[in-house]
Amino acid sequence: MVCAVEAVPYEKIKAQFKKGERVSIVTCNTCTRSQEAGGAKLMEEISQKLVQDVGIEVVEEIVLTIGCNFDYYDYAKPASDVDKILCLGCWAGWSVIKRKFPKIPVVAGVRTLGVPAMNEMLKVVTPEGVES
Amino acid sequence: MIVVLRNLDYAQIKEKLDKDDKIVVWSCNDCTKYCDLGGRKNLKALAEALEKDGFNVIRQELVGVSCQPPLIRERTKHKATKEIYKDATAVIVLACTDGFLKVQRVFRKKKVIQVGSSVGLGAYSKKGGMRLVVPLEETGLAPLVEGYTLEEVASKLKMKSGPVV
Repeated sequence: MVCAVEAVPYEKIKAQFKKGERVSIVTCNTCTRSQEAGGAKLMEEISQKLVQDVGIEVVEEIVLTIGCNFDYYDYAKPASDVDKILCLGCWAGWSVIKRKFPKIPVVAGVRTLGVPAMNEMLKVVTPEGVES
Repeated sequence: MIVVLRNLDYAQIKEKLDKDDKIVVWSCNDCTKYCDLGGRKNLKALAEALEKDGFNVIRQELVGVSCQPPLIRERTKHKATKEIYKDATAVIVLACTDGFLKVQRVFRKKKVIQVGSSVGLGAYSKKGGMRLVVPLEETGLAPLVEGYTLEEVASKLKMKSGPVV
């Protein structure tokens, strides 16, 4: 289950938002939470900071049990009338949001380092449009 | 989720076994299940096929996740399974590369057979099944938001997808 991830530094996330933008934030509650790159608590912290520091409007915050399962998004019924989506999930979760909302920019707040194989890290190819 | 494809078909698995092996068929119940390689149904089908072909399957083991060594080690210590694992001579693993390697490390004196390998990260839906969206560099494939079906990936990588039997 666990892919290896790390959080994108807050300053890099912050730089991708502008004052007044309507934003929804989605986090995965599995791999990213267990590696402190996502999860409800971190999402709350980042959300509050972006509101204070940038002046975005957070339309909704969504915690998904697994971010790489389309069916969870369908149940969550995420808003489609937002300017941007901040994804605190791995790149597979990011791909799911991109596919569901192809016209909305999706900011990747998490870097995917790879797939573990015992003591090795099998590297993945970086999708275009994410912070590598 | 980790996308797991198959390295072996049923005949190749049988070639690695001896008739006097005491076999555990082991499956991860997470990513590998979503790839339709492991999970309860596929574990049972493989075990029953082997039994039908005259092999001695002494246990079918379904593990929540196979990439967590404490869950593997627990099987060697728990009173309900300790003796079974002491007797076992072969473990057939339906799991990702990491899940296989961790089982192999715990059962280092036994014959541990790798059936699946990780090829990247996937996105799942009930309707579309598992699709590979972020491939491993070693596959030579590009990331694809729409994803590749497992059949497509298996064909490109000269591997196999789906259940063993």
